[in-house]
Amino acid sequence: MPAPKPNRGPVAVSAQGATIRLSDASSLLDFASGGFGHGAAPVAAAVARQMAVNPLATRHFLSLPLGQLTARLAARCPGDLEVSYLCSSQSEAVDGALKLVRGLCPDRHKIVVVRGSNHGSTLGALSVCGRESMRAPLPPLLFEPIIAADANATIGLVDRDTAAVIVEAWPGGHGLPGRDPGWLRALSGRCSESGSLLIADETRSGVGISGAMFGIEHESVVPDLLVLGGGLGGGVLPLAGYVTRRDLNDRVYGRRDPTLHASTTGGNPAACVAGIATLEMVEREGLLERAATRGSQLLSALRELADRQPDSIKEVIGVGLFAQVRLAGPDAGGVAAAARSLGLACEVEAELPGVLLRPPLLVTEEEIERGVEILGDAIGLAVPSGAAR
Amino acid sequence: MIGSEAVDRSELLELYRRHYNAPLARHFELGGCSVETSAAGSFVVDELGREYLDVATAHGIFGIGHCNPAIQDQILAQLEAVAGPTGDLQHDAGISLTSRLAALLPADLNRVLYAGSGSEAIEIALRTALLARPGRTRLIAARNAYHGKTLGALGVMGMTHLRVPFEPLWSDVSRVTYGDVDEIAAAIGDGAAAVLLEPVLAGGTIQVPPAGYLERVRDLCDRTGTLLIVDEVQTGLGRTGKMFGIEHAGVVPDMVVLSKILTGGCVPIAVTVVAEAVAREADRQAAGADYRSESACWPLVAAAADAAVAYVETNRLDDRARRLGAYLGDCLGTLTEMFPRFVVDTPGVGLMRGIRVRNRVVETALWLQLRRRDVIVGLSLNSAAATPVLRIYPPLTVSRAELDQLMEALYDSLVSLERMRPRAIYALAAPAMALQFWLPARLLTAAANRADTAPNAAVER
Repeated sequence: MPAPKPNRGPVAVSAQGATIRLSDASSLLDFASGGFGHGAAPVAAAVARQMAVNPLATRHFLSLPLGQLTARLAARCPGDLEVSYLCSSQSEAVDGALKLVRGLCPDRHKIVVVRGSNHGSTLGALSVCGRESMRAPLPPLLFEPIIAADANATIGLVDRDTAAVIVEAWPGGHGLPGRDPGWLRALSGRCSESGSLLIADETRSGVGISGAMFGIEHESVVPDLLVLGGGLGGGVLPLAGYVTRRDLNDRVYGRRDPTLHASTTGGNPAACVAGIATLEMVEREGLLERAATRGSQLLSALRELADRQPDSIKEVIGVGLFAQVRLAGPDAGGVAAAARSLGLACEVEAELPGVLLRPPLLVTEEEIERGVEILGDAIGLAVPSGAAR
Repeated sequence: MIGSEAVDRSELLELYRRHYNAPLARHFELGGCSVETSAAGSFVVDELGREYLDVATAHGIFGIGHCNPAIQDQILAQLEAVAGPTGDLQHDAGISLTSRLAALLPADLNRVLYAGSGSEAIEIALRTALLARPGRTRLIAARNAYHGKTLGALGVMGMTHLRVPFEPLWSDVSRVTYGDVDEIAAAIGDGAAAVLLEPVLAGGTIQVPPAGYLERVRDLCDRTGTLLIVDEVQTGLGRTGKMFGIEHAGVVPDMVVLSKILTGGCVPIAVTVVAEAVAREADRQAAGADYRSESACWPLVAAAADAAVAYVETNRLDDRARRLGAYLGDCLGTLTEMFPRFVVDTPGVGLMRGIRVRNRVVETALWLQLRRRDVIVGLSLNSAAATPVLRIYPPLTVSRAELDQLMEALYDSLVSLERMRPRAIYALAAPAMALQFWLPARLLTAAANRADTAPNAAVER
C-alpha cells in the first residue's frame, strides 16, 4: 500500500537524436540502445493525429493503418515475404515466429541458435537464448536449443531434424566476430536443402541501422521469417512483428479461427501510423545512405582513436551504425562506467569483448564526434595506474 | 491514412487477405464490417460516418472511453518531450505510474514490472513464481481461462482449440474447473509453484465465482506456500465495480497482472505487480539474470497509462461501474425470461456483463442484428463453447442513456430473431459454423447477407 520511495536520480526530460537531456541540465548520449533515435518529427506528428481520433482498434472493424502497414512491409521486404504478424515487442515477435514454427513442424525438435545471442524474454524467446549465463538460473524453458559456437558453425548443425535456425542476420548483434563472408547465404542454402526454416532476427539491425533497410539485403538472402522491432515504430511507439511467406502462414493460420494467434493491442492504429511514417521517413530523408555515412564516420573516428591510444585499444570493428572497441589494457566495464559519468552510454556484454557502440539511426555528425571524444577520455580515465602511458 | 483519405473497403479487405490474416478478412467480409476511422466517448465512427455504440471496447481497453480528452494533453506533452525508450534512465511518467499503481494495490504489492502486452505480463508472473518457489514446477490454471497467446501464456491457456496446435508447452500444468476449491486443493497437493486465476472468468465467457472461492484458494495457497497470481487484465481498474476484482473477495494475491483499462485506450501496455517479498526471492534465485522483460517502460506509453489510471481514480469510475452495473445487470436479467429460446443467462458484475446464448449461430445472428442497430458487443471468440457468451463491457464513462440505447437494441434484435427463425434452424446451423473457413466465400456471403437483411424486413412489415 505505501508507495515505494522512488530512487530519484536525475530523470530524462527531453530527447533529440541520440541525446537525452536530464532534469539536472546534464545530457547523455545514448550509444547503447540503437533503434531509431528520438524526436522524429514526421512520426510524432502522425502519432499525434492518430491519438486524437483512433489510437487503438476495437477489432470489430477493419483498420486502415494496419492494412497499409502490412502492405508496405510486403512491398519493402525482399522475395515473397508478404504476410505480417504485428505486435508490441521484440520478444512477442520472436515468440510469434517460434509459434509458427511449432505449428509448421510438430515433428522436428531441433532449433539451432548462436552462442551469445539474446532474442527476448517471453518463454519462446528465452528458449532460443544462446547465453548459458542467462538460461542457467531460469526455470525450465520450452526446449533446449542446439547452440552453435558462432554464426558460421550454424551451417554444419542444420539437418533434417532441424525445425528452424534463428540468427541475427547481420553482424550488428552478437555474431560480429569472425563471420565468413557469404555465411548467411550458405546457411540459407543449407536450410532449403534440409527443409528447415530460417528465422532472421532483425530487431536490432533492421530499419536502416546496417545501411540497408534490412541486414539480409547485404547478402541478398530471403529468410522464411523476418523479425522486426527496434526502430520500426520510429522511436515513438513500440512496434514489432514478423513477416513471412503466405504458404507458411496459411499452413498454420489459413482456414482456421482468425484469432488463433492475436493480441488485443498488437498492430494498433497508432503504432501502425508510426511504422508507416517511419518507413516513409527512411526513404524520403535518405536515412539509409546517412546511416552508411555516419557508420563510416564512427569507424574512422574510432580508428583514429585507436592510433592515438595503441596501448589501450587492440582493435576496432564496425559495420553500419555498430562498432566494437576491443581493449588491450583497461577493463571494458570500467571504461563504460567512466564514459557514463562523462555523458556517454555504451554497452558492455559479458559474452563479447570490449565496448559496444550502437548509436541510433538519427544520430548526427556532431553526436558521433562527441561520443568518440568521450570514449577516448573514458579510456584515458580507466587505464589502470602504473599501466603503460 | 487518417480521416481525410478515401477508404475503399474491398481494397482494404484484399490487403488483410494478402498481407495480414485471411480468415479475419473473411470474417469481416461475411459480417459486412466497415472501417473504423474515428472514435470518441462511447462511440466509434466508420468510413461512411455511421456511429456505433461500442460496448465491446476490445475486451475493456476503452474503459475511460475512446480518445478521452482529459488525457490527450498529457500524451501530447510527453510526445513533444520524449516518447521513446531512455535506456536505464528513469522518467517522471514511469516513476509516477509505478508509485500510483503500488499505492492503489494493497499490502506490499509494490514491484511494478512493465510489459508490452497482457501475455508478456502473464509470462513474467509465471517466471517470477517459478523462480521464487525453487524446486516446484506445477502451475495451476482454470479450464476455459484465457491468459494470452504467446507460447508461455499459451501453456496456461484453458481453451484447448487455441492451445493444442502448438503443444507441447509447459510440462506441469494442472487445469481445474473454475469455482471448484476441491479441485484446486487436489492440484496443489503438498505445494505448487502458483495458482493463476481471474477474479471473474472471462476468456470468451463470463463466470463470477461462488462466494468464498478466492478466499479459500488464498487460504490453500498460504498453507502450502503456493503463490497466488491474479489476472486482472480485464477486471482491474474499476471494471467490476471495485478498483480490483479481488476486492470483492477481500484477498491479497502475491502478484497482480493488469492491462486493458491501463492502456487508456491509447497505448500498448501491461504490468505485473509483484509483492516485494516475492520479488526479492525471485531476484535472489535469478542471480542477476534478467527474468523480466526487455520491454522498457516507454515514456509516452507510461504517460498515457498514468493519466488513464489517474482519471479512473479521480472520477471514481469504480463506483460508477458499480452503480451503472447494477442497473445494467437488472436490465439484462429480463432477457432470460423474455427470450428463453435464445438467452440462457446473463452473468456478470459491475460493468462486466455477458449474455449467454444457446449456440454460436445465435451469437453471430445477435451480434449482426445489434450491429445493424449501431451497437457493437463483444463476440466470445470462443469457437469451442457450446453456449457462448457475448461480452458487454461498456466504457466505465458510459451514460445511463447509452445503456438504455443498448437495451433497446437488444430487445429489438431478439424480437427480430424470434420472428424470423424457428429455433431448430439455429440448432441445425450451429455445426456449419465449424466449416465456415472451408466453404466457398460466395455462398457464405450470400447467406450472411440474407441473415443480415431478412429479420429487419420482418420488423418493417
